Amino acid sequence: MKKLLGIFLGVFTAIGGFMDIGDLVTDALIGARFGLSLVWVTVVAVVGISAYTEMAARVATITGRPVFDLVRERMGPRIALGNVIVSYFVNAITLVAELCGVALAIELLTDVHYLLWVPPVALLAFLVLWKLPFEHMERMYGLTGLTLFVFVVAVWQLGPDWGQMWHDVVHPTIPGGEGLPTYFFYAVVMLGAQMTPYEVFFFSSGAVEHEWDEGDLGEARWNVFLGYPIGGALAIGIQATAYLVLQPAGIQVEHLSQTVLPVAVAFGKVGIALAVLGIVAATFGSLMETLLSSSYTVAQHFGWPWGKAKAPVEASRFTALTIVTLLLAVGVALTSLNPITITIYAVYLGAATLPFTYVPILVVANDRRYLGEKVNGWFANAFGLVYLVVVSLAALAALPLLLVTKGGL
Amino acid sequence: MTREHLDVGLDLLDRHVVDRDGRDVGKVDDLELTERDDGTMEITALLLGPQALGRRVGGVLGRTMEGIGARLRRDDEPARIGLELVAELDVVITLTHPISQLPVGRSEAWFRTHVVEPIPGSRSATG
Amino acid sequence: MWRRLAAIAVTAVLAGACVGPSRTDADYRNKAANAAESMLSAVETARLVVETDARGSSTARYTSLVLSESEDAASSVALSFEVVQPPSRAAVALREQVTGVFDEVTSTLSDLRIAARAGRHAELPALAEPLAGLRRALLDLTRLAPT
Repeated sequence: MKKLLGIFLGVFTAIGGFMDIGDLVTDALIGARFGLSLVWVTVVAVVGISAYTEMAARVATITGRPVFDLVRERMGPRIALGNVIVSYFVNAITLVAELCGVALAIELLTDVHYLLWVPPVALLAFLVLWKLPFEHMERMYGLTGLTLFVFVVAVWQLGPDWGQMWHDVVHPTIPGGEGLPTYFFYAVVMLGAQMTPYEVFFFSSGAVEHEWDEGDLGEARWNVFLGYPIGGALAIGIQATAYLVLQPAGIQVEHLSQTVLPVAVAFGKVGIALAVLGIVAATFGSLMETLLSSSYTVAQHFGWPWGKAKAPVEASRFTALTIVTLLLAVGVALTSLNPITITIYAVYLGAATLPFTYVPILVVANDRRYLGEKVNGWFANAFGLVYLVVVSLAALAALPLLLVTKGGL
Repeated sequence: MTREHLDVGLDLLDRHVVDRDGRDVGKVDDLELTERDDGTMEITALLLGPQALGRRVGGVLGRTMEGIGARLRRDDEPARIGLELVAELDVVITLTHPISQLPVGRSEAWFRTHVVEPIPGSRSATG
Repeated sequence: MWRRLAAIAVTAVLAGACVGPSRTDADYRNKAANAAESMLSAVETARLVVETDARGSSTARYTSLVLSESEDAASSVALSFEVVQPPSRAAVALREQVTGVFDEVTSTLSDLRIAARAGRHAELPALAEPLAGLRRALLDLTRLAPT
């Protein structure tokens, strides 16, 4: 029973990471603006991140070391150092977005200005880092994040024309008034939001924090292959509710509150409560994941002792870096730069740097010296290569699209 | 520890290093090469730390790292672990002594004493 | 309140600066149409939340927050449009028409926000009545620049 519970709960770790503030905002924004025409991107993203997280999990369980640790050995210090700097930067911006995201979610509940919530949320994050065991942290927000299923159920409640919906999904069209570059800009944004780099770093390091070994590979795979598709379903749910309620009204999503509006229409007060609870949990979980990922990548590159599970004195530089990163994020958040704008740029930067994250994973997962017999089979490599092409195209197109569409206007 | 052939690039450089008790020490950032009498080169030590890595990476970034490292250590030479202190060469490199007896780990110790220890609760592991 | 005003003003000025001056009538009409589209979004958001609130499907805080954000969005759009220099006399006439509509929108949304924050939820549907007509006016404005 406990083993079953372990798998069941572990699955929702992937959901928590998949439903971060970037996803929550872009899913609603895109549903309101493009209807169901970008659902295919979610499907593509789910398959891609599942394939790569499985590789990272395999590396972690078999070698006992997280992927990023091995990137430096395999690809040399210059490339790895460049990778670390880019990753830290993208993670840090994402962290600011997540921090604001939790604060915005609490504002939804309390109608008290989000900036006032930023310091308390950061303090809570510090306490969770300091005191809460790793597994409890994962399960707490994973389970609570489940309430986001209210979005999926809301689709039913809103009584849609299923035939029409299916048609719109498989026949993506660009709505009148939108250009092709804008459509692809948002496709790249969505891909970046759903294939977030920190997910893989976190899962890979988390596997080592759990001290998983080869025997746990099955459990790790369950986490991946069940968690991400569920996350994808939630993402599509949000897009669908926006398509059903916001798009016909001509509402453009500029605030987190608008994401929740369709659920209010469908389920009233209970719906709002469940949605907001889920959003708070999911964004807080993402906050912890992003925060830890920033420090994981740096510590693992330089060979410092690292780990949330360890006593802080046993990993002092790692701990110091985590605290500094959190404080910097609070500082940036408090400048009251528009958090939605930060979110979109964080997501966008993530998309533009995806190849940095995924190329090393593919390389390491093919190295027999680390994985022995368990290197990628032709199946994993086929997916790996296809997705490498996909994310590289997205990364290359990112800057031109940003310039041409003037940031998605 | 003897081996027939050792690919320095693959098996030594950038390997993770742990002490006798399994504690993380760092990465092999560079190698010390000494010239023998017959003119051939011999690896005599592992070099660790930002000074070593900076020198190896080069460029503006490398020189910055080197500078930071030198200032922290108050020494012109990087942290050095003689080959005689290497116990095992595998997925990670294991050393013969615990870190407290080795000439490395000063920055970790500094952060421990001055930054982390003062915070209450810093000694307990959360697991 | 002052901080919000300051934030709106700064955003509007920056947005206006980014929007840039208008050189041709066609360009000006385009800007008007885009601004109207954004206004429409704020109006529809407000209408929807008032409707939802009237059915008992919303919480007081949520309704207040959404109305407040709609008002901020509308004010910011209005300010950033007003900052743009009309390039001709015809454009000035258009400006009169557009700002007339925008002013009505912002004042209606303002009334709604004040009532909601004061807890006077029963008054909201009545206060929101002008929004239907304003919606039509805004839709007409968006057709200035067929896309």
